[in-house]
Amino acid sequence: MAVTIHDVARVADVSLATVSRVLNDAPTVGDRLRARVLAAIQELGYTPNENARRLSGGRSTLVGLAMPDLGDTSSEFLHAFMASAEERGYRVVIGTSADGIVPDREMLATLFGSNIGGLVYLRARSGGRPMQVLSVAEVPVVYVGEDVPSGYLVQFDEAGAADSLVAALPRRGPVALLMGDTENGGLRRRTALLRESLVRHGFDPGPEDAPRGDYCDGTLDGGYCTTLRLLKRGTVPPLLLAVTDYAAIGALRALHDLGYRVPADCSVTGFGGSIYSESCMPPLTTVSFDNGELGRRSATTIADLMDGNRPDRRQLVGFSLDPGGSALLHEGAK
Amino acid sequence: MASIKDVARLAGVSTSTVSRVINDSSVSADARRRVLAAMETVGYRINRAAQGLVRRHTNAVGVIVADAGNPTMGQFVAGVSTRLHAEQLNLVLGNSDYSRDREEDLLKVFEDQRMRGVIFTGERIDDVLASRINEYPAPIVVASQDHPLLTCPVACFDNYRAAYEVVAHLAEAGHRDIGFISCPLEDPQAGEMRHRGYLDALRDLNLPSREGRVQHAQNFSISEGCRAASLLLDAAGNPAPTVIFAASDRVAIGAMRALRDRGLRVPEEIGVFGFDNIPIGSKLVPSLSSVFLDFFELGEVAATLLVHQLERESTQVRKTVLTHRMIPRESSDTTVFPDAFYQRS
Repeated sequence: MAVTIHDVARVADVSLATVSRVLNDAPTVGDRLRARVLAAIQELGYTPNENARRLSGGRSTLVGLAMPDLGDTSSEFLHAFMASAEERGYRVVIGTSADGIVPDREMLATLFGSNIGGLVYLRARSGGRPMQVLSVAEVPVVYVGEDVPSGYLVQFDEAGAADSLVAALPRRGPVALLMGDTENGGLRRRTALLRESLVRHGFDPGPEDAPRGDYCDGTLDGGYCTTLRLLKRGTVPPLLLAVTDYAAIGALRALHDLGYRVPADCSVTGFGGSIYSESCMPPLTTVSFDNGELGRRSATTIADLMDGNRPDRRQLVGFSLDPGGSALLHEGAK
Repeated sequence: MASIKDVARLAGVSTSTVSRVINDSSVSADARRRVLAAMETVGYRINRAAQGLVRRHTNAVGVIVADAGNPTMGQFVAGVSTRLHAEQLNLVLGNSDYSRDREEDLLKVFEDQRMRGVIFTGERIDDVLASRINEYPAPIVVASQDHPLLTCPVACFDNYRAAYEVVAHLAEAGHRDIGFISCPLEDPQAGEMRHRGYLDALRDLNLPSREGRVQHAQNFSISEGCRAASLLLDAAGNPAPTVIFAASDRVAIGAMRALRDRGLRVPEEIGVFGFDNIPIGSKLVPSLSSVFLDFFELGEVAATLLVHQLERESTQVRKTVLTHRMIPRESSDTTVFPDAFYQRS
């Protein structure tokens, strides 16, 4: 006999409404009550979607895709993700926080309320622990992007990319770093990887607490404004590493506006790849990731889990070094 | 135990029709009769207890877009989210990836999930899809597209007028030979309307429409803009047009690349004007002239129209048209080398 929401309510000694509010991650439940309900859910092995599934006469073929931001490198990801999911007989619905307008946990609760049979979570921006609602999710979850301590993970090889990029750059004196802000877990990690690579290859990025460079939020405007500030503060760094391609494109515009030549006065590098990196002037030197491959791998991993197969728990998607023209490179790297 | 599928099979209706009968939703009298008879025959029992566990409606609105990865659509979704969030409504997004089959499928998925309503921004609405939308069992709003048969509220831009005004602006700046790269013509708004705006403006302003000046991009990508601009330059011969108007920014960015690859300086030797005003345009060198369509506002308006329907407020207005704004930047700046321009035209 399947466990029902009634059993959960009885064991936790709360009302049905309270259980339902916890399942939907409603903010109106006190921490103590929530803990009791979660303990009962775990003890009984209750599956939130079981009843819905039974009513609809079978397991759900809907995959939920949680995308906190809708950035524009994701067209390629989406295209590949949807095609691969459909090849396996699954359909996709998307939940989004729309750049923080909706709290992430509300977005996830909406997706779970949509009777999905599996969830793919793009952890592009959130930096914290996986949310509570995910830890009790009884549908398979695949994380895409940032590191998680456990669970299925598909991510770009950011460490390898950072190392390859820095290894291709000749040392020309001090380097400045356009860093990811501390709010954004993914960019914070990327900043750390770039800094480690710089130190490993003999560059001097300045001390960690007084870095030569400044924080930008990885956006076009962030890259533009931060670079203007850097340039107006003093000498031009011969090498400027940006944490994203967008920030790098903003930096190129700032250097242009103040009359500096790239790469003669200042080499600029991006990170991650964007559809615009070849269209700026000069074309951007960057490491780019294959978003299509990330989409395909994410879709096949969740499909495997939903089909009852066992995919690899950790999967890395590779990168390529785009020489572009915005940075001077070692002869061998071109 | 008999299932809803058995009932559907025997009654010769879809399972969603059976579920509408169970939930007392709108169903034709004939279908209801057939379903009830089939239930009796197969001995189907509605599990009211289990049914109570499933809310009759989710608290979400379904939004269907062609490409959630396109920055303009990101803005649109942010606008929808902002308005819905204020009403304590959530949002689930369906990405059709420009596929008509997926659009139909998503309409069905959102119907099965009992979304409170749907906001539809397809690539193209034809007669069949328009009647499907008109018969949709939940409140529905169409955004950024329109069709004469639609009876639901519509929010969109005046793409025809915006394109017309760009040509008038370029003519005023001294251009007599204006090339054009269209978006896919199957898209009635971004494709057909902008194309017609260009052609009508040439006619009304007595500008010659010379050979090879119009090329059609097959999609909205940079590479397609590159290809179309090359074709345009080859077909136009010498002298080349003094400016190229591309009906989408990504296509315009591709066109700038093609011009640069041929050693042509923008805007000194040839100008470029885009459409959509995507964020990257202002940071490129040269910065890209464009037309600003406020997709965030479009999203807010579409969501408001839907909320009005949910609250059963009657509205007399079927169509809401949002304004646009021209943003000339460096890529079409004729003050750089004005003499060169006037000599050529």
